[in-house]
Amino acid sequence: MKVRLVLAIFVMCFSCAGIPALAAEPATGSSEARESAAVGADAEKWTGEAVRILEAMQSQQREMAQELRAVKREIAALKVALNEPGFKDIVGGIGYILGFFGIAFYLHARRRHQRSGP
Amino acid sequence: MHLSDGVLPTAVAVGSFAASGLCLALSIKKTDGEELPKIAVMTSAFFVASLIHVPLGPTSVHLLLPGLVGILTGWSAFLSIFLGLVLQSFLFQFGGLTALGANGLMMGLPAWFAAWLFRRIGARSATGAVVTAASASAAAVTLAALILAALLATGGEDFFGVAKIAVAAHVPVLVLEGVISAFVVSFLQKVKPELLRHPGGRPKA
Repeated sequence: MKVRLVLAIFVMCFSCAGIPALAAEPATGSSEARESAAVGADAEKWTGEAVRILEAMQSQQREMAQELRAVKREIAALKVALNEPGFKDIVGGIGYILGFFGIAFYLHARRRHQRSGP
Repeated sequence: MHLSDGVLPTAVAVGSFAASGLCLALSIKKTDGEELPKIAVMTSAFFVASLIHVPLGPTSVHLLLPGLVGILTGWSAFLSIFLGLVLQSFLFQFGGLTALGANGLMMGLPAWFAAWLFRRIGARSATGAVVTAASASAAAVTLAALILAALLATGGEDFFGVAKIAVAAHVPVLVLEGVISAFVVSFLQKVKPELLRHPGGRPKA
């Protein structure tokens, strides 16, 4: 019911304003079409540009993410390497051991020496 | 095979420290001063041995050498191993400081066991000594794995599950240590047999 009413009003309006609108149509229509075509081309250009930029950014991001992963891996490997005992630790530890036992041996020898007399 | 900080319940960690302390005192008491240089060398060997890794699939296990230390130093083995563990913990960050007592028991008791076994059976013949050294070393590694499982079982782990994994993981080490011990003992028999003769550190009158 409502749709019919709206349709009727629309038809009435069109019939009233029909003739001048039809007369004016060719002129205004062509300019509008040209304008809209220009705007469309512009928009298309910009959209294309935006898509290209977006793609570039995305590929750059992918590359960065890859590089970041590589760097993170390297850091993890470095951490492991840092925790691994190096040559200094080994030599130092052996030095400690020999030092401790050297002191113990010295004390032992001194005691024996004192016991047996000078 | 090192326990880290916080793996064991506090009571077990403290208890194993006490037990380790007792063993350490006994070990020091039984140590003959004349043997100190030998013990120093064995301690160094034990200290460094943990850096020799045996690749095993995706991971690796390292040499332990409790058997060889026990065979060569007898009662003093606990002292030797404990000192080695302390330095490993400080310098290599192997095993936590709070777990030092447990680690000492885990490595020291097998060393004593190997020493006992070697003295019992190994002194009879030259080839017997080599064979005994090899099997005592292998047994010591197995015993260490079992003690590890027992210690972890106090923290709620399944004893047999851990024991199975620990022993299985150390089969290459076990074999390698047997070979090393056999080689060292047969070499020492030829070159310096007196190193093997007084493993108990008995005071000479």
